[in-house]
Amino acid sequence: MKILSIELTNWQSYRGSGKSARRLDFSGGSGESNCIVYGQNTHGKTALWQAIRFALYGRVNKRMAGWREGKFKPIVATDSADEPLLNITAHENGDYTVGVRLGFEHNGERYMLDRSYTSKKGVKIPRRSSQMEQTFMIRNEDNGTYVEEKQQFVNDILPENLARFFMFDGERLDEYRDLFEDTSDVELKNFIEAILRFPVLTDGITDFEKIEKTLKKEISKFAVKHRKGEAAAEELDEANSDLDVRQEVAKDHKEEREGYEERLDVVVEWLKENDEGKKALAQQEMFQAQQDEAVEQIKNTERSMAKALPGSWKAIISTKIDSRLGKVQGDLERQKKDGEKIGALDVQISHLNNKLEGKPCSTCKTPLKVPSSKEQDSILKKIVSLESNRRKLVESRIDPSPAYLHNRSIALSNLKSDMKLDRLLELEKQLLSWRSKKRKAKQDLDKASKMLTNEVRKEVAKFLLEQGELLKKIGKVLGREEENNAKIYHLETEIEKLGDILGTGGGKKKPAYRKAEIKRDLVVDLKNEWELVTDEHREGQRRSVEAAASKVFMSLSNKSKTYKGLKIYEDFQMAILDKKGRRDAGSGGQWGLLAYSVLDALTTCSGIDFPLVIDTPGRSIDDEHLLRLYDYLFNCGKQVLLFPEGSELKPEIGDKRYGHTCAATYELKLNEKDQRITDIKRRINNLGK
Amino acid sequence: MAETTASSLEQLVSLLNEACSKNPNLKAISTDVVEQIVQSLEKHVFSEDDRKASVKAMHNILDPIVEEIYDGEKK
Repeated sequence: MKILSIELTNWQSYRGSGKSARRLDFSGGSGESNCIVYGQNTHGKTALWQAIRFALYGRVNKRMAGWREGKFKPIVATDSADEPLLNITAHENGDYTVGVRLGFEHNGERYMLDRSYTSKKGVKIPRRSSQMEQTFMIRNEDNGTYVEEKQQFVNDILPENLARFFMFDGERLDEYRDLFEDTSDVELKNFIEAILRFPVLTDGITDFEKIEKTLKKEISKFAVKHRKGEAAAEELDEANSDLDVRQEVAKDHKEEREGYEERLDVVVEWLKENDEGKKALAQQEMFQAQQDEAVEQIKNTERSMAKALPGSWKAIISTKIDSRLGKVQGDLERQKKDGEKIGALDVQISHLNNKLEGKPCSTCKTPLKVPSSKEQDSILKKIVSLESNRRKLVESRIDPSPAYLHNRSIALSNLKSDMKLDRLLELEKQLLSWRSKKRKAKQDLDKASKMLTNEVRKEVAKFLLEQGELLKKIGKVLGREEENNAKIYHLETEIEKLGDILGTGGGKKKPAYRKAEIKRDLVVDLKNEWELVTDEHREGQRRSVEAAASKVFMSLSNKSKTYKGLKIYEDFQMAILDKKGRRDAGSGGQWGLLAYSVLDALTTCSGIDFPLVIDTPGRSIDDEHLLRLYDYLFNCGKQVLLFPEGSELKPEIGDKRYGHTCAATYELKLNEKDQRITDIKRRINNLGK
Repeated sequence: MAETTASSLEQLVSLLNEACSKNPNLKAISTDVVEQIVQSLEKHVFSEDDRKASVKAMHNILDPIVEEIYDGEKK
């Protein structure tokens, strides 16, 4: 990258906008690209140096801020002590536009970068940066297009963090020197590593690890699914095989059923054609059934009767009951008569006793005469005789009691008319009825049989039998078909589910799974290679920087005869070595040269194509070494924009020694009328037309 | 004047290419791809997004190679 021009609009001490904007050109007519801008302190050299940084990165560090301090100059302020970027006089005059236009060449194409700030709409007098609005654009001057990712474009040319190696301020050379001497400064170490591309390795390893970690997670998820998939694949094979078998079976079933149905059609057709015979046969079968039923019923009835009471016993029991009943009734009659006789004897005995004692008649109450002795003897004899008869009657009287006999008589009568016996009689009637029906059915059957010839009957029966058998067979086949179809449906559902698990990949790993594995393997291998290369690259770069820096240093130092060179350690700590390889303390000037040498070596080794823009280059370096440094810089092949202070390089000497390598040289002076304004005077002009 | 030598980036690409070419598992990683990866990493060297953009860019570089290897396996 080469800077071709810079145009400043109300930039710090550079007053002017539009056509009166201040411009410096760095592109010589014969390819000269260096430039020296002379100026005393406070005349605007640093503002110019800062303008380049602002154009590229949009901000400007306050000069006194150290390496790590992120303090930036405000875009606008009303007090010059705040170091605003907008020129104070412009601000006072109501001109609120501040900016830088940077013309440059990159990769063979010319660009114009324009970064500026103007007051926001509605803000009459901006007093704070927040009241300003930025415009930033990069135009390709060769093809007229505008760069879209503007800041990225700039960062691709030179990341802001690495700009310090290309654009440095001699005022801060001591800082560089200290840092190189003691690289405990982590940030600087990081920048040195960055310019030598170590982060390409370290960040690469980090990125590969991140990707590997993500992929590992993905793969483990895929693996879980895949294991399920493998099991599913086996199940699927099995299910598919089962399905094939089932479908074959279904085919067989269908064929079998269709065979039966075909035959059934023939049988039905035949039976239709032989309807009479079929009817006769049906009648015959009906009568046969009736007869069979009668026979069955007869059997049933006989069984019932046998259970209820065997018939042969019925008559015997009935006769015995009658006989027993007669006897009980005879006993009851005799018992009654005996009772009556005993009663009569009791009356006679009582009468005779009364007569014997002369008491009134127990019946008529007529007073009786006391009998004579003779009569008494006669009465006593009669009484004895009567009592004897009575005793005999009492002794011969039937036992048990008449009440028992009476109950017995009733029980026997009941038994004779009991339901059980009636049931037997009823069953007997039914039996007779069924026997009659059987006879009738047999007669009908005989008649029906006569209607069918034996031959026809056999044929019809055969077809009917076949019809029945075919229907049964069809039913069975349909049953089997239904069962088989259910299994087929189940298998198909199962296969569909398994298919869902497997996706389209079958038992193989899904593409995303396999691709993740491939990428992981690549990333792991890349990471390994990156790790392997890290040490080699680090050491290689250390040696390269050491060699380059050492070479420049030795060419610049007036003590090169006593020095062996520079030593750069692994941690990029640096040292000056004497001839014996021991550390040499070195003077401030030597360390200043060391800083330049290392910066140059770093920028050279980086391969980054960017000019060296050096403000106040000579701080801490004596005149002799300074001239050697300038000699080196203006012949190093890089574009060098040098902004020396008067004592560092007098314009006459600078123009004389280096003017031929410059596109132009300029001198900055404060405006005589307004000391806050810088005027630019061109001294050497090699710009051509 | 400093000698014109290969830049740190060129040297790095060269080292990585040499290393990758010796690794049979990285046959699919051509010198162009190594350069692409290095350029991408270089571009994101000061990323402040926890390297998300860089990782994404890395995926974009590797994805076509993965596809290529996968297609090769299928054949």
